[in-house]
Amino acid sequence: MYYSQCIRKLFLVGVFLLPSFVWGQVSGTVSDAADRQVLQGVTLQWEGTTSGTVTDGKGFFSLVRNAKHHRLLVRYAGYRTDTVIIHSDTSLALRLHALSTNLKKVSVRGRRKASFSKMSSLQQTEVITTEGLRGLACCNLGESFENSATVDVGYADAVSGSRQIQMLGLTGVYSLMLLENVPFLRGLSTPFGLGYVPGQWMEGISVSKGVATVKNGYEAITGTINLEYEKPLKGDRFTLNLYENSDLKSELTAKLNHRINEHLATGLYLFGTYDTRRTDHIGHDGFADYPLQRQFNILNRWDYEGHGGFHSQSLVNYTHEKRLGGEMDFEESMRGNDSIYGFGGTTNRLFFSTKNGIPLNSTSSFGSQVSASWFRQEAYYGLSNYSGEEGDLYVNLLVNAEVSGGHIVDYGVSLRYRHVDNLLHLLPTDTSQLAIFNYKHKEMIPGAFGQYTFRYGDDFNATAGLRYDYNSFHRRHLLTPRLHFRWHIGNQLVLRGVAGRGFRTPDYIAENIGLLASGRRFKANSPLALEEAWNAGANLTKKWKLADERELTVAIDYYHTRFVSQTVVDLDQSAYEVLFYGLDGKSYSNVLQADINIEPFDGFSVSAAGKVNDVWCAYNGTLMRKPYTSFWKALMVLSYHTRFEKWRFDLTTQLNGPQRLPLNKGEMQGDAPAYLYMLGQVTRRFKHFELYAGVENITGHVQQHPIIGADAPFSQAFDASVIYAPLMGRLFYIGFRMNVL
Amino acid sequence: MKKTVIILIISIAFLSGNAFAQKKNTKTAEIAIPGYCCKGLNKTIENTLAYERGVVEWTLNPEKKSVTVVFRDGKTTADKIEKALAENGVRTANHKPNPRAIEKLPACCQPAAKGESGNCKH
Repeated sequence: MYYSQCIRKLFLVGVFLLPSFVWGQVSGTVSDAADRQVLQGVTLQWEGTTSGTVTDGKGFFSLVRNAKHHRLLVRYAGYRTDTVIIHSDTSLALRLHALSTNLKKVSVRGRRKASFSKMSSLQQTEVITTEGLRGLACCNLGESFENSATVDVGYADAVSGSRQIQMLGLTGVYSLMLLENVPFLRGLSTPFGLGYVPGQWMEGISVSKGVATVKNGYEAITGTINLEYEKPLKGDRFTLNLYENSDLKSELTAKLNHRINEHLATGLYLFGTYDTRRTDHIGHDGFADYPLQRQFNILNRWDYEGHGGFHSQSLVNYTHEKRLGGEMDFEESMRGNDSIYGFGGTTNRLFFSTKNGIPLNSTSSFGSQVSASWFRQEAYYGLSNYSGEEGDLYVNLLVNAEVSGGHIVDYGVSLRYRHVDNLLHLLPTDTSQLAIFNYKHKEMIPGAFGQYTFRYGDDFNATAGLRYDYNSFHRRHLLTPRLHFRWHIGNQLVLRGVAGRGFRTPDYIAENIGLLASGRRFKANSPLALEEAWNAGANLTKKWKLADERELTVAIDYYHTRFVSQTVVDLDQSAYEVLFYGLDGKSYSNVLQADINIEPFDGFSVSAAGKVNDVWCAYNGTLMRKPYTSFWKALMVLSYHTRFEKWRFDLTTQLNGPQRLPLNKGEMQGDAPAYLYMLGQVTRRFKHFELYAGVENITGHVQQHPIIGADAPFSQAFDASVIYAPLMGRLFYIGFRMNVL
Repeated sequence: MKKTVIILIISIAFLSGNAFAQKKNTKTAEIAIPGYCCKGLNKTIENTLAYERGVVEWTLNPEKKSVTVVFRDGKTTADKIEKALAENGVRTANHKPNPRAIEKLPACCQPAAKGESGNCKH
């Protein structure tokens, strides 16, 4: 007979007491409430006395009971101070809640849920867990948001395969992509960047909506996406993933983790993808549906957790990618030929980051983040050639300190140096004149920030932050105020609010590189000014506990973004031109979203979401909807697993609302219709490995003619940048995953 | 109709025969889990046994800190099952747990799994 007892949800339990047989003594362990890792160096002190102790490397403590004082204070830097009242000899398993996630990792391992919204975080945060990623084919980051209504992913054009995200109805450049809290994909890496993150390297993704706190710079206007890669101290010794799809695309992921000693561990992660076949199922226009893609990606990381709470995480990542697309018969050697249209691109990217943290005393800690990246891309779209190079160096030093009354102060300084060199030889048609755009700039951005977190018990916290930066390129002094609050009204009902300002340097060529796949001429007023916007929003989340530890969560949120200055990409004045100019008039976005998550019975979960995007911008004095932004979106995710997760079934249904198309030369004008997109996967788990098989785009709905003027690619009639529906037909895949603990 | 009934009877006989055969070949072992701390460990134990070849059924005995496992003789042994538990971080009488797997146990179960006593009293 099977004997099963429901496992108590330990996450939300602050303290629980267990009887003890030792007299006159209190002992126990202290661990993190979120990831259950034991905490070393936690101070335990009888309130009003000087007697106390500190936990050892295993999170243990034991101390003699005090006859007069019964209140035991439990303190640890970066965590909320807890008080335990003790009247008898006990053994305790204490859990502390992290105050900020800046120096702390958000670990989602062990939580058997595909995604969940955090109740305790300051900002509205949705976490996509390893479990959630396992239910998707997740070749790369671009495919990891299929079950999230917050992040939309779309294609930039029909030849390069580049995908871009949208958050709060605005392109991904206005949000900030972090890797373990260090800025990761920004600047020139943005257009193809989602492809540089292998899905199998990640152990979780946190998506936070609205302006971020001031700690990570003046960007992150619409939100932050924080990626967590596997940690060598905790990860499995060896993991292997093989994937093959019906278009003969092969992928391999291998992860090796080695623990050198109890403090030091290293990880080596590899990823490779190889396409062997081009297909022309869509449009039958002589153009490949998807470019041939070859990628090699390697990452080496080192984690050190020393005595006294010192910890260090360093990683280096190299990505090499080659793409080849365009007409089916095009080969690389035909580049520059004006009788056959081809697309090609080579990218090399090197990224290094190191994070170090040390407690200064029992209530404060110091952290440093240093990152450096080098990026080089060469691409050609027909006769146009583009090359972009970028170097980025970033140093951020932070102090986190608890002041009297449990309030928190964070302050720090940062310096960013960025050098960009874009060279575009634009020849959209074989009869047009060659236009050369050389956009170079160097930015030096020194800055300082301070932030105060006011706390009232566990139920209310508010953070007010201000940062000052100087941007040497734009020669501007920038003040960035940001405000956040979280109020637990009671009974698992949480209200959150956020407001703040943000800035960003636009890279208009790289960010709109998909437009090179068209006969449009570029016209730019340069230099383009720094972009500036205000963002504000509110969120209400309510959680109900159902029987058998199941939960029902309902969340509703609304965010507003308003631009003060913006680089407008105007496709509506002419179908033969794209104009870049500074905003003159209004530009704003309003986004309303509602989410429901429920587990009707053990093993089965349903999440449904609906979203309305209302995004407008003034184009040459006329207020119009922003093109390629769905007016609304509906999403339903069904997930079922049998006992012990031997079988797992996932089905996602997305209904993408209509979107406005810009003026173009094709048949489809005005608003493009809504469409349905479905994907599903079955996973079977065995003792040491698992097999999965799935279908992407189950209904097979695709854009019928993604390339306008495909028969004359070097004329003005050509345009492969008008994309409003999926570009991949029904796709089957199978995979194999194994791990050695 | 007759045929169907006959087939049904035969299949029932076959199935029950199978069940008898199963009972004949099964063994029962009580595996001690000295590192058993609280029900936080149940999931790890059950998830291990569920994927073990030859394991027919089991009963957890939290008070006795043990698990009673019924398994098919010839397909597995009590020692193999113990080994599998240890591989997933559960300390048994004869096998030391895999240190990497211990890290994945709930924090309250980790000290006991490492063989450190005195902090998990039930």
